[in-house]
Amino acid sequence: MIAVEGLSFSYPQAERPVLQEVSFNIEPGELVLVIGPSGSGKSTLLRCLNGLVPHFHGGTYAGSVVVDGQSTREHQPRDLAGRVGMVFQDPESQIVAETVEDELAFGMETAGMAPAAMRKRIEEVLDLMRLAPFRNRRLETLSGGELQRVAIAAVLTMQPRVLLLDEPTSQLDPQAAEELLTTVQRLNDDLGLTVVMAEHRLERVVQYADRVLYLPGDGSVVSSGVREAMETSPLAPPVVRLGRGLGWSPVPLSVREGRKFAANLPAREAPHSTNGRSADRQPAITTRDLHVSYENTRALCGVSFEAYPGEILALMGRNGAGKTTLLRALAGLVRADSGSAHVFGMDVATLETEELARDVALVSQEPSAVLYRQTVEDEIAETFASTGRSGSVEEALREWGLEELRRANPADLSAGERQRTALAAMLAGRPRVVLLDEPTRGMDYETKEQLVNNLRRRCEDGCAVVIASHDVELVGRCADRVLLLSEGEVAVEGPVREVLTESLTFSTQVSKLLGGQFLTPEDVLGEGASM
Amino acid sequence: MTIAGEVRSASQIGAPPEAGHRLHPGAWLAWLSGGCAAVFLTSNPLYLSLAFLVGTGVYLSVRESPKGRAFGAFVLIGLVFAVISIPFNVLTGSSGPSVIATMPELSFPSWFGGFTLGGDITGESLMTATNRALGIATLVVFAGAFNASIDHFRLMRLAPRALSQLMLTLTVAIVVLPQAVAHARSVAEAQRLRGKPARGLRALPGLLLPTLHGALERSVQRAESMDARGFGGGDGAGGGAFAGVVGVLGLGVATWGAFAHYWYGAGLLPTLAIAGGVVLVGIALLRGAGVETTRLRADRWAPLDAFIAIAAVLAVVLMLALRMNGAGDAGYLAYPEVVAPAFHPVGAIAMLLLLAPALASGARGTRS
Repeated sequence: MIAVEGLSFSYPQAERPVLQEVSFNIEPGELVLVIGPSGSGKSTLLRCLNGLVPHFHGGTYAGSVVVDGQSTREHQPRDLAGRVGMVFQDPESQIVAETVEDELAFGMETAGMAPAAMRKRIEEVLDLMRLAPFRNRRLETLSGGELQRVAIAAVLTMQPRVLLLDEPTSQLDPQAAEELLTTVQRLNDDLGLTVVMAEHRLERVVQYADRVLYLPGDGSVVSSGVREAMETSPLAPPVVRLGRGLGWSPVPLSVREGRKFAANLPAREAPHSTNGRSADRQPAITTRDLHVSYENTRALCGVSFEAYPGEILALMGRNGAGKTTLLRALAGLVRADSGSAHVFGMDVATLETEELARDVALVSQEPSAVLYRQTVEDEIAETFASTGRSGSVEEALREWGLEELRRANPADLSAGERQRTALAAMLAGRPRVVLLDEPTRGMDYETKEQLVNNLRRRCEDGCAVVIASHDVELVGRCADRVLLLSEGEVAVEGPVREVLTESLTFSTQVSKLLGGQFLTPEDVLGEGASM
Repeated sequence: MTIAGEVRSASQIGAPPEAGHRLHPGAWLAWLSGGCAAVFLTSNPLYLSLAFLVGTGVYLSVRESPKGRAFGAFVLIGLVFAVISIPFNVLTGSSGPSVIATMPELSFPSWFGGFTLGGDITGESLMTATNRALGIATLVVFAGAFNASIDHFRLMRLAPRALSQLMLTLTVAIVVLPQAVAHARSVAEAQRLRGKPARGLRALPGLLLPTLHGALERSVQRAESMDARGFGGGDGAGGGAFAGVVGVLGLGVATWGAFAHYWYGAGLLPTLAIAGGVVLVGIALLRGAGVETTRLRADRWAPLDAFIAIAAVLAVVLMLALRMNGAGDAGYLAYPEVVAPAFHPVGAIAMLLLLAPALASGARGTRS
């Protein structure tokens, strides 16, 4: 279906090529995962497969890509639209029309298809993507996950043979991401559509994949079968890392596959609960009976909790449960209707966000909005200037692995690199309270590990960390306590091992497999055993 | 920002899809053209005030959409401009007998326009300036109501085939605007989180760069996505983007020229306007051959749409008749001396006819 021969590409003014002498084949009906650290060229590789590279993005190009018998050298991306469909990260910047139906029709109208044929295809695709209830809805009223399904549907109406997905879930919350990945897997199963997808959430898709294209970041691409790849890949979901650590063979790709190994596992000593909180310490954050509402919607109703220096507190709960609102209230971005919030004894209600910024760092879901300087190191220096704290730019760069990118313009970085830059800049001033809103959206496993280590180090220095996240694996890996919000109220509060292991929906892969108090591969294998 | 969005979409999950007929974009186009023409035809502050109220009424009747809210900001900006234009116009036009105050005078040489800044501030110049501001504000409100209510994508499809690609470019530009406003808000918030006050002139570079960058990045990705979805295919020949850019420029110049000519009577500008028009027609002819698109479904033209269109045409006819007849001071001038403008019911009827879309949406509201 896709034949890539000796492909090399470098962007103009780049020091080294993104792709160098790359060759691989993809068979019809395969589901192929493209994995690799951020900035390794996953997006570029996908853009080579439908001709956006080199036709849309200029640069130095060599080699050949043949898709469904058509060479991308001779054919423009728009001419390949009927064979290759592509869906990008951000659902909002792909829409053209204002209603779902018009959006689905756009490609076909452009191709000059007869109205009767268009109707038929639209009906089919609406059913296939379960979008029929939304057909007359205006696009701006849809959620991110629904919009991304519309984007895929709009591409499917062209009846492509190949679907290219460039981190389609990185802008979505985990529930929407899971639904989307299930849909993609079904398209591959039912229609035999060839799918090539760059994706970080391997725990959801790796068991359905046929093959993995691994981009280590040096310009090469390693193509291997999924099981073979998972034996060695540094990017692997928890169940794979557990299986590798315990020498299970063949390595299990899903919890289901792991069960038969787990059944024969000798009983192990359960890890003890670690609790960083000591009774004599003053809480870093205290809220009492906090109420917040937007227009006519109640977002928080009577939330009271404490967070202590040296601990990581996880906020969990459904979409709209009030996690983001609580963080924003603590940073002074929204004002409480009643109740109080104190940070290290300071009343949040009496301070502006700008004044709080010295002690409270909130990293929002859209981290790149905070970046505005010309280089990565300037961004970090800017934080020292605006918070009046002293610190070392070098240290901040090292902490987040940004040494090589120090002189890069944040605008030119990949999404993952930009997120790391934002974290480095926001946390450089050593704030005493760190608030993170869905920090792992679109993050690969290695970066997550780096995040966990950095947060733990902050905690040792007496910092309090609050993470709002749907990412159970992250919470299981780093949190001390969990606060579960439901419709603006605290539903459950307790140590992470109690909350996550007693939960039906909020449990990690390892906990599903082994039960008891085991949450992460490290609980079973010991720290640093499995990377 | 994000949470507000979340809450909003959550509250809409239970809402039924839009029921019944939506007004045809052509009807809205007729309303906008009629409204603007009627406003252009009169300088009588009484009719203009009425038109402003009518425009506001229509705007209020359609603004419940999220897009309407975003465009509220643009209407506000337009009104601010209108208000700012008053002192500017007062300072540049200083004739008439009823002197209110005298300012220091600054005359420019003839090669620089030959106008005089300051001097006498007269009741006549103040009246004229207020009238102009009222006219601008009315046009802005009309445009705001139009923008908030029409589906730009459908409007674009009304364009002749040859211009459809150009119109799509414009449509996409319009779609980007509310997103840019939302993005600017989150950037301002992010600045505050970094400890930089997001107010005042010093905050501008910090706000402008990320906002522009965000908008640019989204535009590039949209262009990429459209390319990957087959837009601009068919003839395969290059020059499409160039023609698009030239076309947008031509359209912009033409609009600006016509506007400036009307308000300031500049002579060079109509020439530019004509040049812009010629470029546009040229492109239409040039691109016409290669474009081959179809429509999923034609927009239905319902009685309500006809009602609005006829009302708009009638408003223009009445206003034109009034102006030509000379009754009711349709072409009111504050010179040579300020007098109270006369009033004729026909002028009021003409403006009230422009309330048609508000009535139509009211009629739909009670039926469903």
